[in-house]
Amino acid sequence: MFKAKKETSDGKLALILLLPSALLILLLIGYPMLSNFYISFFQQSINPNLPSEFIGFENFSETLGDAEFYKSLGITLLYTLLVVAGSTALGLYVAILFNRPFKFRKLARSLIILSYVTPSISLIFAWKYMFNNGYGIINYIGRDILHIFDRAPLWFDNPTSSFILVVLFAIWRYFPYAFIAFLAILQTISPTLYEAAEMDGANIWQKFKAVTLPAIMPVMMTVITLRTIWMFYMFEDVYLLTNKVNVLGIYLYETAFAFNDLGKASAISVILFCIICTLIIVVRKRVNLNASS
Amino acid sequence: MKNLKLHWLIVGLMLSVVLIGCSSQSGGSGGEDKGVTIEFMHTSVEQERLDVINGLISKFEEENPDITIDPVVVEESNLTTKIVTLAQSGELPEVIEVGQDYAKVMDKDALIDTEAVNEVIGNIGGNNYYEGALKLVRTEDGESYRGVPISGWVQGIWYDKEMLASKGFEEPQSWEEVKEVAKAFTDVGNQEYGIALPTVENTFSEQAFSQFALSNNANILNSEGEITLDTPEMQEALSFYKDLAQYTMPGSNGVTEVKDAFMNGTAPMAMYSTYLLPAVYEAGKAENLGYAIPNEEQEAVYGTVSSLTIPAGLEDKQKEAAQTFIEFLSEGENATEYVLMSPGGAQPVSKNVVENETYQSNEVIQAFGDLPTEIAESFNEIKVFGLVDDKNYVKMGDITSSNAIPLMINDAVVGGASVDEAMQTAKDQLDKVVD
Repeated sequence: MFKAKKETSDGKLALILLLPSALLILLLIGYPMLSNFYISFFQQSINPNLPSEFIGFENFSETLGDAEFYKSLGITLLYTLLVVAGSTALGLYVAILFNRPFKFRKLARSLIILSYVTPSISLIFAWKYMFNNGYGIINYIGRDILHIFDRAPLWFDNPTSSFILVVLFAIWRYFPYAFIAFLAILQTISPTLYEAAEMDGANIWQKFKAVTLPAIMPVMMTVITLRTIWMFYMFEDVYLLTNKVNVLGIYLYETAFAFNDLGKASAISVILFCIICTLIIVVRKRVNLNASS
Repeated sequence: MKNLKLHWLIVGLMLSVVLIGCSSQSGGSGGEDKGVTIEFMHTSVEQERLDVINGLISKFEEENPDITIDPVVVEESNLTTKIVTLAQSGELPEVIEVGQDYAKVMDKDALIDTEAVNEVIGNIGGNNYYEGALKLVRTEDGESYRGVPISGWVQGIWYDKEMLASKGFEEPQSWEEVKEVAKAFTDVGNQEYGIALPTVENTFSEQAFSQFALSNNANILNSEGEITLDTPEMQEALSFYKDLAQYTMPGSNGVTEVKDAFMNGTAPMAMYSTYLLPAVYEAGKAENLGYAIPNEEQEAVYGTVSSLTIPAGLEDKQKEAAQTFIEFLSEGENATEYVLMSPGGAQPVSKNVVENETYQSNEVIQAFGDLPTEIAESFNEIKVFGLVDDKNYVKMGDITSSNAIPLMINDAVVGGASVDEAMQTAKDQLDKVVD
């Protein structure tokens, strides 16, 4: 009886303590989402005092009938796939390398996360200068020192090289996130499991497949899920690096702020939300998160 | 006992909420006590410029104790995003510093109180401004204005007098002469170029190209407001621009590349705005700087005006305060201080600044001799896309925002597309924008 009363009282306390956060989430996330959904059915002017015209699903049909949208979607999916795979694999590889004692380990670990903690804008400008057509160090080394090419390639003016560079930039910038997450989980794996595997005659790959992978799977899925969401909506890195890679973030931004078509921009963001939700649900259903057990 | 603690917790939480609410309200009531508080959104983010603006605000508040100015500082690149989001929430500041292109976009959506702006210009006196500056902010019907001009800049071909003289050239007077000089100085193998020309996919290229197009009588719109991109004159201008670009640095050249190339001697000529002047002064080369204007059928100076505007839908008290503040900033001494935030770069748009003693005695202005006066007067020769027979078409704001013209230039010059292909793509895009 006393226990039941205590539980009710704790439950109430928990609810009260959670209430401000819940209200904040509703206010800051729920309301804008609903408002965005609402706007997507209107021809909306920038001026809220001018009447908005209800146009049903026209913004959606216009977006889905636009070849440029599918081109952007394709680029974005490829960009997301390459960056998520690249940054996760590199993060895992470096974490495995760093999960052993060596001199200056702490310093090395701090240095490895530099690209992740440095503000984007500094890194982007550093890359733009490195690949500058006139005085970039890459062209200087390739043309003047190593004589790999006679004329400096226009790195950020060619759509293909621009795409490769934005992918490489993102992998380099974001792999430390995966590295930190993997290093933390790797440190929890008991060395006896590896010893047992060795006694069974397992090689490095077999040890990774039978011991490491199942143990890190929940963390890997979280890293992949979050990175997929973040890369799918990526805007500033690509926008500031080049004009040649038109990912969906840029397509959306231009619709809203270059063409001032707020209704269509809202419809695009609703479509993107549906795509990313479906993608995440499918991925999470297909991968067995409890593999470690 | 436990219940008592729970109640205290609830009371505590509620008290915090009330206190937070009160604290945010007290700021507002403080403003009310003093009369009226208005916001002033500007783009002077650098500390030295901020100090000047804040100094002007303090001076204004001393003279007008019943008005409080709350500055809202925004990066120039974020200004349009900020305006759209603030407009959507009905929270636009009472005074906004905005360029002529985005003022058109705001005007199209009835976000500007053109009557209030007109009153301010009437009170200051329209004769005080250069006609060219006023033309850029005049509404399409010619009856009113989208903003009160406060400063501006003009663009042209800057050249290094000594470098040109070293090969026997003087100021280039025509397209062909510009090309001749550019060709003479180009040595691609040694990374030397004849002219630093904007080719990047943003408004910088549109502004530079517009001077060549307009000097060949090619405008984007005709007197009926129809798109006239595919005229022979426009085609000639783009062909010439593409031809000239073979003497510039490879790739998409933006503000940084063009300025660097001129300042480090890679190119003896550059298409740039007056914001080149402070750097030239710093380098001690003020006397060596020349200014030429593209000329084929006529001279065409590109220029832009930064204006102070008042959003529509304000209460009378706020509107009057905004008008008083803009009039204060437009007074000779204060407008001079505003312009001299970047001496040489920002140009005066009114005669009361040019004639002001502080402006004339500024060491940067003096270092360039007669050039600042020549530049200031060139405001009267300004020609921009969308300004046809003094009619300032509002749809030009959408055309510029769409980025179709810079894409056309970049496609033709950097992307390898033919002039016809690039123009056709741009025309298709503009037809959608204007429809």
